[in-house]
Amino acid sequence: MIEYVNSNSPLHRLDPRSKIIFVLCIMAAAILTSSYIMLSFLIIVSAIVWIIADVPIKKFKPVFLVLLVFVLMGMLTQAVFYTDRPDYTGSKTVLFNIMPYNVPVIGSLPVTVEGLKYGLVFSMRMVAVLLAPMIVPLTTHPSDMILVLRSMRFPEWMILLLTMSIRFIPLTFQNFNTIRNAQKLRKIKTGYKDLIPLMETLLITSLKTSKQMALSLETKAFGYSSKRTSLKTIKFGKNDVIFSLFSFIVLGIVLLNTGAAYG
Amino acid sequence: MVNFDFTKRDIVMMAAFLALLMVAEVIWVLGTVVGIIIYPIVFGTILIVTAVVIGKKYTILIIGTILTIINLSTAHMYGGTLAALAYLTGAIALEGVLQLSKPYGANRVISVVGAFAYGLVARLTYVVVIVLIYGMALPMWAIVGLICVPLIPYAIGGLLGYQIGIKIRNTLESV
Repeated sequence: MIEYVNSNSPLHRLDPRSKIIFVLCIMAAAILTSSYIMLSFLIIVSAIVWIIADVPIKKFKPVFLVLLVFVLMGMLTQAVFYTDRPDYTGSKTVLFNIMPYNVPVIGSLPVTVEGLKYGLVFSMRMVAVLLAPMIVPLTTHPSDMILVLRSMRFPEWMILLLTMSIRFIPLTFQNFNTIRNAQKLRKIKTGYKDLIPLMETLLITSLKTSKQMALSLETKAFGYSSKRTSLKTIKFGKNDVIFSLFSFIVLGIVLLNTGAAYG
Repeated sequence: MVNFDFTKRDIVMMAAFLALLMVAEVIWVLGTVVGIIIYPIVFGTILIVTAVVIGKKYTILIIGTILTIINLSTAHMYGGTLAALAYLTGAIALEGVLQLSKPYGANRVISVVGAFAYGLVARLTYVVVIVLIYGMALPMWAIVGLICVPLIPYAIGGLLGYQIGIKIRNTLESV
């Protein structure tokens, strides 16, 4: 899971709302354009923002590995399926067939040049769409996200539910490992039939913990006062306005280019 | 006006279930072929257990909403950030089906049908997002496969969820 990285970069100091505006602009631009240049521009902008965010990129090697798998999968599927659509009217330059024979329903799965070109566009779009939103959880402390939700007038109990569920994730993994180790201690081998008792035990353990948490909330009088205050506050400052303007300019450039491309 | 009648205990229990649903995403690490079968079983099971144990109207709708918010902000899934909407649309379908049973989530057949409906609507939304919004070209047989293959595992998950849910509810009442 993508977690908050503690730093004092300019991105960390921004209001989360300006980062959400950036993400929405990049996503909208990536969906609207099919130009290699514009998609490369969006990826470069996102990469620059990642660098400014001072995020240790080496730590996120698995994330980039998954992204690479997505790119390869996107390229391969589009190379095969793009020209296979019933509404496709363009040329079809077959490089090779994946299936040696014409299999009923799926055909011979031909890899085409046109498909590979579209696959590249699709993969670039997916990279742009996935790269930009990661900035928000990496540079925004969960408590700031809560403040954003509060400013959006989300009910307090819903915010509690959201924060507690995130808090429960490591606890659930810990419980899972404990139960699995206990199962391993009792048997030499563990199979699929042990999964249901594991799930039941995991559920009961998690629910027992939640019962204690609920009691602790009661003792702390959570929800007694409808007016909640916070030590930390968020403010849409000058830098946020500049960053939001930058986001809109990026979207504008892509829209102008897309509009020009369509005539 | 919809009245959400949840106690603090219900909210914290829902948080525990939400964490389990997020942990279930780890199954995809095993690969797409294994994931498309095992993930719907586990996910469907947890959803129905949640409905049975909490047993209050709008439980699944709230779970779906929060899951969508979390996934919209973490963007980890294939199909891009917008594919997170599949959780919400699926939850709306499941909530609608579960509200047919009185009390909420206390009927085996409705739980199985609900899990099936969740799978159908969630997968349909996912395919709509990746095909119509992100522009992925897919042939009809692949679209039908993507939607239909996980439906039976979701139904199995619904059945397992009902059985496990009843057991857990009884255990919790006795503790």
